[in-house]
Amino acid sequence: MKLERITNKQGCFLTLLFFSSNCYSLLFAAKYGASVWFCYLIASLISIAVVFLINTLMKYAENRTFFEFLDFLLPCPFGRMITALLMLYAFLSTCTSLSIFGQFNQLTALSKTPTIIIPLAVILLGVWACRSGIQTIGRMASLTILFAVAVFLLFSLLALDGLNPDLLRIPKENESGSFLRGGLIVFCNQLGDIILLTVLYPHFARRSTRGRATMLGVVFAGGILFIISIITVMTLGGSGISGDAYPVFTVLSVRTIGGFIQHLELASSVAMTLFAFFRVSLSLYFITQAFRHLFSLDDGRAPILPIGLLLASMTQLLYHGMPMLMVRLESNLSLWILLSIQIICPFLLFVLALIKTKKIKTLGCK
Amino acid sequence: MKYGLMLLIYGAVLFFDCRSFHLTVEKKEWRIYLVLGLLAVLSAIPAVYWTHLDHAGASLSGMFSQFIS
Repeated sequence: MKLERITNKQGCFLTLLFFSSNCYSLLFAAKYGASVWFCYLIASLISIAVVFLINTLMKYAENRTFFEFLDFLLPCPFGRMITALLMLYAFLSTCTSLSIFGQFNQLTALSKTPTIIIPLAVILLGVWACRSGIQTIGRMASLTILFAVAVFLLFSLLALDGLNPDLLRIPKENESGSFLRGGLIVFCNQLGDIILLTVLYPHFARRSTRGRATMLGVVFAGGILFIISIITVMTLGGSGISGDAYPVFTVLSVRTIGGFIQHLELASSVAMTLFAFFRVSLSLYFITQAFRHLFSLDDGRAPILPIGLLLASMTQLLYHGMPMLMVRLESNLSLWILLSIQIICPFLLFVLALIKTKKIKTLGCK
Repeated sequence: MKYGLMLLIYGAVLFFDCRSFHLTVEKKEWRIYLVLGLLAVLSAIPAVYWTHLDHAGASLSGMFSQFIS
């Protein structure tokens, strides 16, 4: 199979759109009220550190794909086991994201449509985009980014009028431990899937600056999420955020332009659908590549559709109610599992890569 | 009705999809496709059961009857 190329700019846009999924729906760690912005700040800083770690790790991979690199780092069955584990993780993470998106759509815009319909439509589009190749998805990202920026400007610039800085709360020193947990919740649920983007690395046209492109994408995504959280707090206040199921959506729904352009929240719903599309496409691409590597397939694009349909069904089976979804998003067990995959696993791989390259260098010198 | 419709959607999507390329893919990939496809169709039944049943059935059949009329 011929290796497709995307420009570094497209890679940066893809990263940004991938992490923006669910940014206008759920405000993660909302129970922290007026200090939730601090959790978003912590999450952004953690994500910058993790993307730096993964960029350095991928430097050791040289021309290999991420899965070939895993086989190089670990002895035979373990590399494949980690590939299978990451594939399962990508599957479950996409299920969670789609579930948030599906329930958000049902409660805000399409109340009579069953929750499975919109995620299913997004999945089918994602499957066909994924079959067309990463170049197609990259070009679509270049087009979509303009709309995403327009919606973000609508959200942030129109807010300037009615913002109340007194509603922001700065956390006290003795509370920092508790806010660290909030930051980790935000990171794990919104910015933690950096490891899935490793599948993009071999496709970057300019290899020398691919790390910078990914870093820029994550920094912008973290910055946007941070600004969204600050504006939401300064509009609704701490109690408003804790009491509302979808506070970011509520903030947009009260905005108008001079009393003649209303329902700006619809723009956010459209943006959410587009973001969900990129999230699903890239996750499916990761799953396909992992699948291809695991079963040593030549092409591997055929099973994307049944995997996509399974994804739609599993979204319903795993989180068929909001309480089940909230348990997954906020529970301690889920937090530890996600942290081990999103931070500890790349760190261990980085250490292994260091040891392995040192060994090779020493053997070369001898 | 709702179960039948969901199975129909899943089945039709898979049928039209596999018709287009089943001769070109390698045997191993085709077998994986069939196994995953079967799993996907089977998973549609419990998925519809949990998909907000109170009005899902009504709205799905309503959608269908509106579409026909």
